[in-house]
Amino acid sequence: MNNDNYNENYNYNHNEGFDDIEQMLKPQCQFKASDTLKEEVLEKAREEVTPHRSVKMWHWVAAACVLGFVFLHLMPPKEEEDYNAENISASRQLMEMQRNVRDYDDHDRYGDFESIEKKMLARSAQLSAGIYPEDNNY
Amino acid sequence: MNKETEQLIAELERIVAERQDWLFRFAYMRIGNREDAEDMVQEVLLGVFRRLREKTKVESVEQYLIRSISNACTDYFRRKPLKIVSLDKAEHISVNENDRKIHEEYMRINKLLDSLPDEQSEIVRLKCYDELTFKQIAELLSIPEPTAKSRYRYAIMHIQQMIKKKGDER
Repeated sequence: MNNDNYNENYNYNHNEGFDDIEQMLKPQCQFKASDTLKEEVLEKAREEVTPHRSVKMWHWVAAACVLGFVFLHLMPPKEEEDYNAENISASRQLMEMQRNVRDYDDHDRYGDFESIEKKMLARSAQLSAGIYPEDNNY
Repeated sequence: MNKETEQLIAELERIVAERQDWLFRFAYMRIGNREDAEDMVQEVLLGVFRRLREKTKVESVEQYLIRSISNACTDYFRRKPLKIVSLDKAEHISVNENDRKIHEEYMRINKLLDSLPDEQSEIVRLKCYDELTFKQIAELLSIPEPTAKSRYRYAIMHIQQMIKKKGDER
């Protein structure tokens, strides 16, 4: 590391033996670090200066997954929904039928039920005989 | 990356290119293991980078590197117990020619310095192998410069006598 050693040694080394010993203690071969050492050091240095996300996201992602799981777990099963939907649909149909029945009670518009029934039976007989009325009022 | 960061990276690249082999040699001659020595060098170089980035006053990068690698070696022995590998398993550890040479060098120097007290052997390593000045050695070890010089002289004389004694025995 420092090559300016001659003056320091000159005051002490009055015999050649001293020089010989010093020579013996110097490196006799070359020491070389691995070729990859430099790259590894520079890679780690670059890694240290690369800015990373300051807010850690994984906590929030984990919380979102837990909430999603809880939500799915607490939601009612699909069969209950279908049953409810069917019930609602059936209720509506019944109400519609009742309304229609009430509508049939409107004599001014449709006449009484018996007359309607007679008409329908007559139509039915004509259709069975292959007679199709011209007014097309089935 | 902004301009300032790019300059820092460029500065680090320059330091790595200039010092990585010296740092590796310093670490290897004390711990004798390539992988651990290179890990240590990486940590030291990244430490310099962090200081430069934080704009902490670094009086001398060189001085900082010497102190850091020396402290890292001291901490290494404090943290890691010695690994003892049995001879039959040692045969299966693949070592390339270069690693074999540097490990032989490690063994050679350690053999020469083995008989010295730790404080003397470390000064000899720092002076002869790591090529530091007595001033740098004194600063690193927190001792006066004359103390560093005298310990070094005693160490060399001791090695000289040891080699002469071995020569006489033959």
